[in-house]
Amino acid sequence: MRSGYEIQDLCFGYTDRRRLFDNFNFRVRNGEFVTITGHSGCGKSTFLYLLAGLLKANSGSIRFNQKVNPPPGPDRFTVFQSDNLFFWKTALGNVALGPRLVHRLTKKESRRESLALLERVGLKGFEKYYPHQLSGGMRQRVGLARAFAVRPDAILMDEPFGSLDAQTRVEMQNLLIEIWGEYSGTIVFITHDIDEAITLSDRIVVFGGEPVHIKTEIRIPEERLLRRSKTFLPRREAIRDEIMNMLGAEQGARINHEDLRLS
Amino acid sequence: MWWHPNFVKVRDHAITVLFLMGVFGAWEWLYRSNLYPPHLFPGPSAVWPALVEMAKSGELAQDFLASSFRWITGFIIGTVLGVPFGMICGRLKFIRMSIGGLLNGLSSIPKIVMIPIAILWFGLGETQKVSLVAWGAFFPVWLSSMEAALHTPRELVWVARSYNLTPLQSALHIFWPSAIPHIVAGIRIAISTATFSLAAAEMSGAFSGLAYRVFYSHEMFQTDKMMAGIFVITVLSWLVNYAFMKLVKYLAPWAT
Repeated sequence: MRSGYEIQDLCFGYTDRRRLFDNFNFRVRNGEFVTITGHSGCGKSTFLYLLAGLLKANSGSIRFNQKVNPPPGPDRFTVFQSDNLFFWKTALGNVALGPRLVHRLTKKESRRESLALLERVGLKGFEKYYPHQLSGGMRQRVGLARAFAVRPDAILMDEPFGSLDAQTRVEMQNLLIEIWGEYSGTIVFITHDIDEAITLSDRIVVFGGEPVHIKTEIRIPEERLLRRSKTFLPRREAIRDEIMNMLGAEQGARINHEDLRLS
Repeated sequence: MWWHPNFVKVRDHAITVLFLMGVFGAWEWLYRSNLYPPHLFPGPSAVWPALVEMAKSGELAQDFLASSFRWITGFIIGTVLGVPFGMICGRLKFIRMSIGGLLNGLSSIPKIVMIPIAILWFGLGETQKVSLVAWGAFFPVWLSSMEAALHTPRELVWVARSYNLTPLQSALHIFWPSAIPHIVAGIRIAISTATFSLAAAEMSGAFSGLAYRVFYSHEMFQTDKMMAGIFVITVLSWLVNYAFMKLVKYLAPWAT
């Protein structure tokens, strides 16, 4: 039963004294593409690692597909901003390891499946290249293929395109949408790039801290293919303004707070 | 032409060759200038005949074989023990806090201090020399393996956890390969520490070997043979390092 994420009364802190999450509630529908944005250090990445099971909540529950507080598993795969490919394996080896060890496919089967995926992400002919021989964009393509290769129910992405140039970033966004359309599944995506969030998501959530709370939520029901068109521009502007205002408001509050302390 | 890739290659090698010719030239010039007593400072023109003489009499081959056997055997023992020991110390806190701490202490003992102990325990035979070389090779490899396993990138460990790998699978597919670049660096240091240990061992209670020949020639005041021995040791050390790097480039092009 796929039911997405249901987070109830989540409490978490790296130290006892500071509670980053204090009775936090959140819901991600199955098959939804949710983007989380917010200031650096507000707890977005921590939230993602909690969803992955890589960090343990102090109290409260994270339900994923009926499982309560599940440990890390191949049903939820995390894609990080930093390049974390297996640098000792070729592009093909990187993609094939998951299917081989997780789904226990034979070498031949996993190879065939991985070759198809690499072709899908536009890396036909680069199967035998090592990560250090590939460009940043190509490495993230391998990273995407590696994530989809284990067919997870949810993919958790922590600023995956953060280090790419603007042009490559747009290519990767399109690619992500296409592949996601074919494989389905839930995506929780973290980004600082508001335009990226608008292009990709069903729902944008602006996080504020601390403790983490939802400052605003915006649903974008429009067809993704139309979002790069001119007619969508006014809507894009409106959403961007709303998010910028939310982020700017907090920035202003912070500065005032600093002023008070100084005087 | 100047833009051809081969030109760059040839030019780079030419730099090395010309520099070495300069070094040998300066050495020979110093020797002939009589600034220093020539019998204390033999130049290339004096060392070369000594080297040829050593090669002809079979002395060189004998010393070379004796030293190679000790070096290779000891080096293999040291690295084969060092890598798994280091990896285990890096991943298992209990082992690191117990055995790891002990090894850390032992690693700071100057290598020549171990020579009397080795003579006491193993006598003056090959076992003593091989064990000293293994001792010298072990620590850099152990330390670099431990540090690498200790600092495996967090994201890679997390991928292993997401794949639900068993400890053995994680070790085989994640921890070991991701440590290789650090281990390569450790092995390069081990090449020189093993050589140092071997030379020290051969200079204190041996009857053959390249470093023994250097020591013996010094005692006999055959400075030309002494220099020839040093020259051979230098060339061999360089060759071992070069061959090792070539091997790494071939086996693991991503590790350099």
